[in-house]
Amino acid sequence: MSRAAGLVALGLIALLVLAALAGLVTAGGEGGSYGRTSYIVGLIRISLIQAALSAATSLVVGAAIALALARRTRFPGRHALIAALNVATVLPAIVTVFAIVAVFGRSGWLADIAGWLGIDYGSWVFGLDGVVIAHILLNAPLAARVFLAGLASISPEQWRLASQLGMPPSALFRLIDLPVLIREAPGIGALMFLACFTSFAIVLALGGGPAVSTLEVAIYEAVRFEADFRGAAVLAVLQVAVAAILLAPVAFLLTRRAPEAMPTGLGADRPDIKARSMRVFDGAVLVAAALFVGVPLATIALSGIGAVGSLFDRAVLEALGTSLAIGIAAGLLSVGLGFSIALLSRELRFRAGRPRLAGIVSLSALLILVISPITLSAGLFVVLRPHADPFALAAPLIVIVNALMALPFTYRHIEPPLLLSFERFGRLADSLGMRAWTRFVLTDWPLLRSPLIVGLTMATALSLGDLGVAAFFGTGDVVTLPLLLYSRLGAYRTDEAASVALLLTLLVLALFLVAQRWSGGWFARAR
Amino acid sequence: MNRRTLSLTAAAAALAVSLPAMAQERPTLTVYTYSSFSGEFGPGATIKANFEAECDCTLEWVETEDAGTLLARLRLEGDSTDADIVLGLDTNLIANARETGLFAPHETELGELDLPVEWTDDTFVPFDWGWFAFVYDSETLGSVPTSFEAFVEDEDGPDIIIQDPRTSSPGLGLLLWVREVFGDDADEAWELLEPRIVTVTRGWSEAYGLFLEGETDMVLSYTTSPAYHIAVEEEDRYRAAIFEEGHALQVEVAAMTMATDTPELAREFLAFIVSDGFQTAIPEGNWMYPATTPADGLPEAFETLATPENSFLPDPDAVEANRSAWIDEWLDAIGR
Repeated sequence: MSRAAGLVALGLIALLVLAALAGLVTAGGEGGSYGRTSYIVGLIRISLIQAALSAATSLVVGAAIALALARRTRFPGRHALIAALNVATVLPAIVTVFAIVAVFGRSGWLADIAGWLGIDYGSWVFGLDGVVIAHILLNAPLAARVFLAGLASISPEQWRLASQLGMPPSALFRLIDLPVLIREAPGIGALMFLACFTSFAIVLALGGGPAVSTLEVAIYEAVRFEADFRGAAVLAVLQVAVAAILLAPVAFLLTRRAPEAMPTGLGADRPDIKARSMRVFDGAVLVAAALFVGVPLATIALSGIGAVGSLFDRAVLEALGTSLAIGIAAGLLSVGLGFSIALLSRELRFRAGRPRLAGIVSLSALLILVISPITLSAGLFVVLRPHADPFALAAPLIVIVNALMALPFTYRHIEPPLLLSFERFGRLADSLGMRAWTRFVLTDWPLLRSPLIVGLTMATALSLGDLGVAAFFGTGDVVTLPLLLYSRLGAYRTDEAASVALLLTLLVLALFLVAQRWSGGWFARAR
Repeated sequence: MNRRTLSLTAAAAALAVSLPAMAQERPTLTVYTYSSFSGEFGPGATIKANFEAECDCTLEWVETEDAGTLLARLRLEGDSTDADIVLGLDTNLIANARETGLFAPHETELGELDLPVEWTDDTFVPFDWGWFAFVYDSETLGSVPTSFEAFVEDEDGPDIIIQDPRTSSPGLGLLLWVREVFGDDADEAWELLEPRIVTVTRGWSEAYGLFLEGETDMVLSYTTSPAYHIAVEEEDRYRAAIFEEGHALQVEVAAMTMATDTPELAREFLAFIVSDGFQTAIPEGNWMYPATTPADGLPEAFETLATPENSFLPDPDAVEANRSAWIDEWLDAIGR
């Protein structure tokens, strides 16, 4: 039974993806889009470099933030910092671009400060640097969240033992923290790599020119300008293939975990919280993180506040309702799929003794991210349209595509606690002959509750900020907030658009605050 | 748990679709357009009200993000599209659109049009137009180039942000404009410009937004862009640089589909497009020149705008035939 749901979920996803690709192939086109070999190879090459850089730096930054938060469980503003970090992970691409530019651009805050100090600042933010900075803003907090959950699972015994042995902070890091970070890194690293590999609007806007772009540009071009749907399908498959080939060797790492023993939490057990060097390190990291995330968010608030009156409008309220309905539906679907697949992966890993197969299942949940949303949207549209009214189709299709796009993120939150609960309680539950439901309630649920809520929130928030899919299916009835934002920008209403960006950001912030409270303060908990 | 999640999802999805418009006796004209046209600040609402006042019908806007998405959606829908009218394609997409065979001749007397070029197309009805131009902030940019050649050759000239011709219609427009001015030397012109290109964005909105944020001296937009700032913000610092070689035109068009189930109503709407009921909403709704000047003339903000002497309208068929090759050359010139 616990396998059936996962198989159904995977089957459903495979069916949707294959149907979309088949739909596109039958929709025609000359296939010329992939004929320009050196162009395509060049796009893949720069995408790989950019994604590797973005993911690697995000891992390091995320680890530093997670360690600092793990040691400092009580300080004024911790809740606010965590909320801000959460919001940063789901900012819509266009909002991210403008926030980054408002801070790092030639007329941004840093330039102002530099000018004040008499330093020539220039406009360096456009190029690979700017793209990587924007990706760190989106990804490092995500990595921090996953790392922090991992660090919270270190048993107090280990800390007590380390304390008795009088280990210095460096040894604690090497022997206790680092193994946890290394254990979590492949999963979250792969996720961030893929997200940056297919990142599109950010890469184009901040890339500084076509030398820095991604394969997604070619797919977009094929669908919209050339009506080369077949070519788009081929490029989409190529994109998945490249990602799969790169990640296949590490697939089994995605579910490899050290056995765990005891219940957990962040707390005062760490012997290194009193070390002065760690105080300095943590202080510096937390201040830097607060500035790095807080200042861009502050710019969103500042530029949005001017035209905040334009939000009290029927069109905005309707878009808000539509976005929330779609976002929550997509979030629930995404969590449902993620939970089913994670359960399957766990069964394969522990019951069937097939860790490699379990890794492949995990990898497939990740790879959805690489299937370009415009391909999926356009393909499903072609397949379903003859059988249903497109106006009625729009909302469900947006929900489905958004749920799939958010799946890798929800999965990353759900899988680790599921594995952990089995490692801790699996044998005990077996020996007691617990039945599925009892077992779920007693062993899985306590560990799973917070990650499920966080995953749901993240998927909902990602869907709220989505433009691509909504723009394609959008009809007069289905106007989402990002579409409204673009329509205001397109009508020169920059200030009014900024206020929609502010509304989106506040909405996401509210979601995360509710989630933090609901999930029992997963991050914030000091035992 | 899982089943419950799914049924909840289904319920929420059903809720999101919500009640479509109640069945109506009056005929409905379905018009596909891009979102800033039908959106709250666009001319869509006025046009809908004006047309419904005279047609005894309901006009329904169906919006997609932009012109490129509009055409892609139409192609995917093919013969079974629900669109009666598609409004918002531009001259660079016309050949593509015609090739689909999805559009029907308008068979409508358009009367005299106020375009800088002659318009004889039997299918696509122009509803507005504008010259592409580089817009700048006169309070920060000291020396403004007066010719494209001088602009390209001045190494210390203004920085620019442009749109990507692979994803954006203005971006493609610039590519054609450069080709028109520099001919076979277009690649060389791009190589000269390259160091001053701050960035190349996905669409017009990002580029113009970044310009307003102060990230560049000039942005590729329209000669009519300053009118927005004058009329809405009472701000006249933004100007369009006029180049003596001339400017490329963008003409935005509408057409009726072959698949329409109300061809009479569709023709009525195409005729309405070139009337005052439609055209008066254009200048201060879409911030472009109307295809026919309304009886009351242009709004005040438009009267002060600088205008080029010469206009180019790229040949749609040449665009269609060479687009891919030209983009490759552009990529070679500035991309690597």
